[in-house]
Amino acid sequence: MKKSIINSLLGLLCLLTLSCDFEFADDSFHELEKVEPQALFGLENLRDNMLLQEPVKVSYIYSGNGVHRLLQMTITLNDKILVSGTATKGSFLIDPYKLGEGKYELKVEYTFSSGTNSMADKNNLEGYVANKSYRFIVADLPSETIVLNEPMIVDGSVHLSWDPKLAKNLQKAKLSIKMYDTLLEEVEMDKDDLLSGLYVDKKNVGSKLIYKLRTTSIYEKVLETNTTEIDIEPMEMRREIVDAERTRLVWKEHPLYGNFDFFRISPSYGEETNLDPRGGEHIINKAPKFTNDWGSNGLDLHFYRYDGGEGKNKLVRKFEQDVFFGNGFENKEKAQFIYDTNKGCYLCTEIVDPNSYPNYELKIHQLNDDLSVSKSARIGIVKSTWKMQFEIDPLTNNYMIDAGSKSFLIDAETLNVIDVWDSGDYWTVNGNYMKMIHRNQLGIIHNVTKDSLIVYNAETKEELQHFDCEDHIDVSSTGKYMAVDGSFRKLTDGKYEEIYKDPIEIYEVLFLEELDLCFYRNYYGGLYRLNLETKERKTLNVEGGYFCYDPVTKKMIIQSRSTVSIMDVFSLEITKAVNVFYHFSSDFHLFYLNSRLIDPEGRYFDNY
Amino acid sequence: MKKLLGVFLFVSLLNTANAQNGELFVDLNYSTFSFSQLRELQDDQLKGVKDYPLAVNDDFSSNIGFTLGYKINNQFAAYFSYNTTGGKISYADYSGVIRLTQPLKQYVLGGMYTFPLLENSENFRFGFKAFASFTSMEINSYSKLLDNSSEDSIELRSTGLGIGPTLIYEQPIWKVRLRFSMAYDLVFNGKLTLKDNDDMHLEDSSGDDIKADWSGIRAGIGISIPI
Repeated sequence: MKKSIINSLLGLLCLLTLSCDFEFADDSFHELEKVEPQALFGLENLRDNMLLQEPVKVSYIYSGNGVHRLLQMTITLNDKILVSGTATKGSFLIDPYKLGEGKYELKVEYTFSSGTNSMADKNNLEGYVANKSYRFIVADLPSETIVLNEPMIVDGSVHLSWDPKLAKNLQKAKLSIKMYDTLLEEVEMDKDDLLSGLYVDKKNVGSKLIYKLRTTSIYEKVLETNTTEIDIEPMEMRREIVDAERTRLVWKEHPLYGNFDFFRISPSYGEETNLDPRGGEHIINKAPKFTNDWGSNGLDLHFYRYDGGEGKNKLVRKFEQDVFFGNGFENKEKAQFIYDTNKGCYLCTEIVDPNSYPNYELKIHQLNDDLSVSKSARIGIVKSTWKMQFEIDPLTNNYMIDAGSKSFLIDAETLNVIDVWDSGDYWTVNGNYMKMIHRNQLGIIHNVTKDSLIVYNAETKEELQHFDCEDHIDVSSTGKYMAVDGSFRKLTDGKYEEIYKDPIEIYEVLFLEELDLCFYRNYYGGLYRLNLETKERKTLNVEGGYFCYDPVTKKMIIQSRSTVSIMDVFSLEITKAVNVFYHFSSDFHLFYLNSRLIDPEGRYFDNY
Repeated sequence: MKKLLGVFLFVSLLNTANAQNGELFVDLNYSTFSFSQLRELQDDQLKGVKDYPLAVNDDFSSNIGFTLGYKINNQFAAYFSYNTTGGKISYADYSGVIRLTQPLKQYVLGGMYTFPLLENSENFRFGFKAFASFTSMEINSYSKLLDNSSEDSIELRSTGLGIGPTLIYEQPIWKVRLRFSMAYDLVFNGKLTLKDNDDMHLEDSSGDDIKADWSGIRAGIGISIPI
């Protein structure tokens, strides 16, 4: 009974408990409307199929019209990501110079929210994906920066120009101005300067001015332009002799006269005189010397600009310039000069490369009055240039060159070689050093090695005479006279007969055949004149090394260590003796021709 | 099915009510509850979620409960009551749902003293009751977004005491008496503590303890069966 009551109660309890459980209301369900996509993604400065020839800054902006949030945006260029993220606006640079020429595709893929306000929308799990694509071509790229034109000198200043159209993407630049490796100045330039296309350098003076720009584009890209340079011709200067104690400095307009107000020479050469950039003359109270007498580096020139009055002049530039005592020169290595009185012109020989032992290439030049070359010809290859002789044949007015074992006859008009006489054609002794001289059908060969001399008939090669020659031989221009060691000989009936014997040891003989005179010297500087007709021998009152006869003035120079003297060949009177050399060597042999003093490298000055 | 089971149980109890002294009574109650703190908690929860327009679906409203008691004599009775209610806030659309439910259950064990309200009628009685109240509460959260769902649940409990007046009218019908009752329960509940950790309890945003306030009217109808 009790069990039944308990079971019933428990059953009732379960029933009631189940029946009384609280039932929750349904969820608050929201019906949402589908929203049509209204988002826009725009790019500025980029159009489909455009030609890109300069960097372009592309701006992008996303508009969700207040409905759609931007969930993700990716911009790729040829599948390489340019921009990615959720920024609704921004910009990026397309630099065609980095890309190079070709076709490109820029794609935009952006995802934006559905705008339904659903839970998925609010959690960015529901949206739309949209794509855009732009194709463009990079071609015919102009220069990325300006290209400097070759500088020009206008009104005494350097004008540096460039195409201003190429500067439109530049914002600033730094112009560096150098002289060789030395930085002279750096000039900051702004956009307006760059767009002007011209920079006038009114400040710098130098022998070579080098310009280069370092440009910064509006995109902050830094590039260097080409380097352009201009060689500034040195101010044309020369020194003229006023008298034995004074020289005159003569100069012409400096190419960059606009870049300085005056210049001065080294203070050690006189008072501080302001010299005119446009040219002028200035007396220097200093004895003349032949080559530059300011040392091997030239004359110190100081260029100034007036800057605020006396004593406040601003030194623009200081550098050395070679200022030769004489006119310009045509550099010829170890040249020998002659003056052709028939043609009224100078000639010289040239050893093309003095270091090309044992084969030297020999050339001949006919020169203008300023010693510039007017005509040249190749003579040939010679084995030796020792005691080479360059003379005019008085019989034909052609030129004769005796160089080692060869003797050349050269046409005076064409400079072509007419004939060549080679000692090997007459006297073949291998290994011996032979010197060949050809004069008026005679072939004179000095076998230096064997100390013997043979005179041949140049045409028949018949030996005419044979005698010893230990040291030295000189032959006059037509072969009329010969000096062999201390023996002076005269051609008589086809043979050289001794007419005078000097016991001294002769080093060098100069025959003035038309005057029947000769000058010679010994090893110790003693000078002598011998009258070949009267056999009268005079000792000169001057010591000397080399000498050279001027057929125009009939005077000769005698060169000693530090002075050159001009002497009348008849009276033996010294008319001028000036200290003109700053160096002396055995190779430094001056020529005196047509009143002009010429050194072996072609420097000269007139009316000496 | 539940109704068929109820008829069966009722007939079974009548058959067992022969020659007994006490009475067994069963009431179905319609109860109201206070729960002001829990409603405020709902408001706080609504304010805490700004992204979605959450709405309160249930706010611990009135509900059906039951009382099962035994009358020892005409004055005294012992009883057990069971009440449930709940709170719910939710948002749902086609892409997902957010749901926060807080089911509450009250188990009451109490005693009752009644006496006739009129001198010539034993059927109309007035009395007082005192009881112990045991509360269990769950806070269930559930969310689903597209194919992903997550849920979480915590359980709390509290105990308390209560008193209240009651008014009962009984009408004898055949072997049983039909009961009508009207009462008010004043409940003094303790803090809602975590089931797994008594040291932690529920507070509102101000730091005040939240209690399950079951106080309210109990209107009932039932039967009393002599046994």
